[in-house]
Amino acid sequence: MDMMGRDMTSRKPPPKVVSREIDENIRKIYQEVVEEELPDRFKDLLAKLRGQESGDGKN
Amino acid sequence: MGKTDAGVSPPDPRDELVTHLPALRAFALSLTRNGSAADDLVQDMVVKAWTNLDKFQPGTNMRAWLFTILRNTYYSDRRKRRREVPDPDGIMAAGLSEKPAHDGRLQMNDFRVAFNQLSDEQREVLILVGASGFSYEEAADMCGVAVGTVKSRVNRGRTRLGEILGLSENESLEMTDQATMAVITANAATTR
Repeated sequence: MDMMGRDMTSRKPPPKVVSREIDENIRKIYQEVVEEELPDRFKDLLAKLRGQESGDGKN
Repeated sequence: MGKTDAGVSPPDPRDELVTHLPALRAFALSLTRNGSAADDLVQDMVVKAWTNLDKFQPGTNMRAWLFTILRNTYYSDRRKRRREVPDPDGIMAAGLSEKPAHDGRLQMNDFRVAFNQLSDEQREVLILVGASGFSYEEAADMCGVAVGTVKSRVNRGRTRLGEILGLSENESLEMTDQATMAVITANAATTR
């Protein structure tokens, strides 16, 4: 307890300005990956799945 | 990507699935915290979704459906592999500097390391709600918990990030003061 009688051991959420910056950074680390080019392994995988489906065994 | 005209065949759900892959990779990386594990997870999820597309209800939210499959795949893999998964926190924490650089902005790398120290439950809700644009209700459905639980996980996640990064209220005030002082000093210098 401090002089104002507040329990300083309780975990207060960060102030608004910090929360905003945290949210902005979460969006940034997410967006970085979203904007990456899709690796070739997925293009290959999709071609394979489509090939199986059409039944012509293409690719 | 508007509505198709009458008489035109409905959009192929396979084509829509592909458009969600970048977001799914980002979600997978936030869960696995490892690039190649993330892409392995997305690959497993794509195969699963592709072979179960007949179970997807057209007109419902495919993005939420795919995110849910990814999430379920992650947690079921984690249960299966628990014994071989090392606790990454020690390694992650080692790279974390004591405090963010005092240039008024968090350093992205410190932030990433701090984010990776959160629990799976906190990381996933922060990504679903904070970055992927899902509502609290959608995130609650996807995680199979109450809306209030999602909200408290989001708040606890933010609080924990603030603690790890050493961002207390005093500090942010201090940073503001420094920035203010810098502006005042610069102005004083130019007007003299």
